[in-house]
Amino acid sequence: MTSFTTTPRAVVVTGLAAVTPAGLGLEAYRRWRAARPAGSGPGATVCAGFDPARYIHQPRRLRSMHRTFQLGTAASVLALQAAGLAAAGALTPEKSGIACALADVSPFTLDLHAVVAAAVGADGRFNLRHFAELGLHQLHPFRRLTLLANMAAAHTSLLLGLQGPSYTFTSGAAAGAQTLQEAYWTVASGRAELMLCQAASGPEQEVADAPVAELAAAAVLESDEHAFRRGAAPVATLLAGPAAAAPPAAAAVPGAEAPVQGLLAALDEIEARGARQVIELRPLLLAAMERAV
Amino acid sequence: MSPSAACVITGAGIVSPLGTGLEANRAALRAGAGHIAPIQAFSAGLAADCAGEVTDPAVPRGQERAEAMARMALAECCAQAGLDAGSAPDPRRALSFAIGKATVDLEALAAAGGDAAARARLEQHRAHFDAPALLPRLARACAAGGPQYSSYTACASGNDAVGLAMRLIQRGEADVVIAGATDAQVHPLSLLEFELLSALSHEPAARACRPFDRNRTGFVVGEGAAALVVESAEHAARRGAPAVASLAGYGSSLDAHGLTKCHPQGRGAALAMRAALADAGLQPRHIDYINAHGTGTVLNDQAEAAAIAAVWGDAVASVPVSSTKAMTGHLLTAASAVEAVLTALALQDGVLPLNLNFEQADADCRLNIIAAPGRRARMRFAMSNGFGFGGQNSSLILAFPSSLS
Repeated sequence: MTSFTTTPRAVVVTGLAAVTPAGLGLEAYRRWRAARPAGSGPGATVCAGFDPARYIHQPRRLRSMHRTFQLGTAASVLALQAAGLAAAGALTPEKSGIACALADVSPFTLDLHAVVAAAVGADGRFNLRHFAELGLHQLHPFRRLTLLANMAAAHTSLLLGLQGPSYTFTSGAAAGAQTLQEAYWTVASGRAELMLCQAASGPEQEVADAPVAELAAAAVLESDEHAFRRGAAPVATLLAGPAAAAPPAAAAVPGAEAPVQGLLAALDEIEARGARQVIELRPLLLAAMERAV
Repeated sequence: MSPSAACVITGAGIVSPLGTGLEANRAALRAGAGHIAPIQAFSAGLAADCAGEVTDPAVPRGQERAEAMARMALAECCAQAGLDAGSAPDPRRALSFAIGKATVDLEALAAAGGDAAARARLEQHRAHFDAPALLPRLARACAAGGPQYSSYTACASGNDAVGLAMRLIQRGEADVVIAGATDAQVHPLSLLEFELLSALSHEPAARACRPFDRNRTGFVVGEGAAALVVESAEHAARRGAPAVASLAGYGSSLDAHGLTKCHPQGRGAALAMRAALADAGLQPRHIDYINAHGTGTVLNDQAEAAAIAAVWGDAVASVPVSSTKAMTGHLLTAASAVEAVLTALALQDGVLPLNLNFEQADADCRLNIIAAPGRRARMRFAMSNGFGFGGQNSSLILAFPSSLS
């Protein structure tokens, strides 16, 4: 069993990315957040000029992805570009993994509404057998897959060939910070050379027509040795800090945007510290969780 | 290995188609009897008309079903570990739980018709049972006042929740982590969705799930929950809590091959198993039993067999393998958490779990399948696999308590 009583490897952040309705990058995220009307609505919610086909060069794969998954995968591609890892063959598949944060994808799809409505008989009663019969022909064959949170990691891994460790957190506002935490420790313990952190929100997560902003965030974490070998300039170095400084109870606050807001808050903080800072992970995560709520 | 890093399981709780509680599951596991039966909860007229249902009348029907099973498993594991679940939240007690997707109330949705406000209320009610909303309630149910993690990796979720618990203990971020999973997908919409993927068996209940058998035809949906109390050996010893089993290793990987189809040679599965072995500091020859993911679908079983063969090499015939899904059905999000508990019971009892319904060997699955009930074996280490849609793979290695030295 790998022990953490030994000193963990140094971990660096080499790429950051954000996709927001105000444009790409964390500066755009700050603008979008500042412009959002407090308490009166979500403000701009759509990344109007954003074309995921610019980043995902596999048309068939792109068509099979929800907009939310497209945004997340595109953010990961952007983060890899920022890290200088966009070229084919730049990643070692078995040593590269992904940690994702995602909120629930609503199962109340238009096709489900249609099939349920059609299964109501003249007497006004719902007929389960008729529903099942209709559903076999009228629901999307891959419906189940489109609703699973880990499909974000699956799509990204398929595009980028990631075969390393994979986690998907659905713990609400804490989830974004949890991706950074587990990605950090996965690299620090030597279980991967590189981990992508990714989170996204989008229209598929809307509950009861409450608009959800299209947001995505991604970061590249790698061992400093790996980054040094390839001549990458780290954005920041992460340190675990003492276990006693672990964030206290991080309650899982619901909300479709909460996971991505958590990761964006952490990445914003990393960038705001300026280039090549050494940042303690735990206070960073705590601050990110607080901002995400 | 540093003794301080050794993780032990000091309590377990389980609600499965085999029964409610550890002793009911232990007895059913020893007997090797199947608990897949025609669905009692509803009749949707689908070709797949059987399931591994939880028949305990104390478990309510409806959207609160998964929560109720989770609470029962949490209560049992806390009691066994000597933890007071009713105390004030302990900031050094964390929760790592995988929660299956909340189901849709179809009749209520039909009744809502085109009424947008009524539909909105239904959506909001359903969200009350999804992970972010349910997780804090489960934390309160076991007095976990530390960090709360909900991870979701499809049918690998349970192993990943337990694996994360192990990491949190090793890093010193909690003294105790309560880990597990719950899922209640014996529901008409869920069955329909799996039918659309052509994944389900259409055979009569008694023979519906036949992992690794040449004539296997698909999986059977099941439901249940399991929870484990994970802590460092040192912490358990300090408070005088005996270990049920130990957690020796954990590995996670991705196939990067397809959304529904796993890699035919089990590339990702082999990576996860190797990672778990490396984590435990073990060689394949040290593993005395593999609780396979073994869903009973043609391609998944073939890929898992190929992966085991790749990792074990010439020694593949020496390691006994079985899938307990032939008895329980596939519990999806909860599958590998429940199977971790069943594997711990097998280690304790020294009885290899039966691979029910295995009648004819498949040339593409050359494994040492446990085809007879009640086979006794002295087991030190056992591996439990969990693989999921999207190419998620996870392997967990459990140990007989005294084996971690």
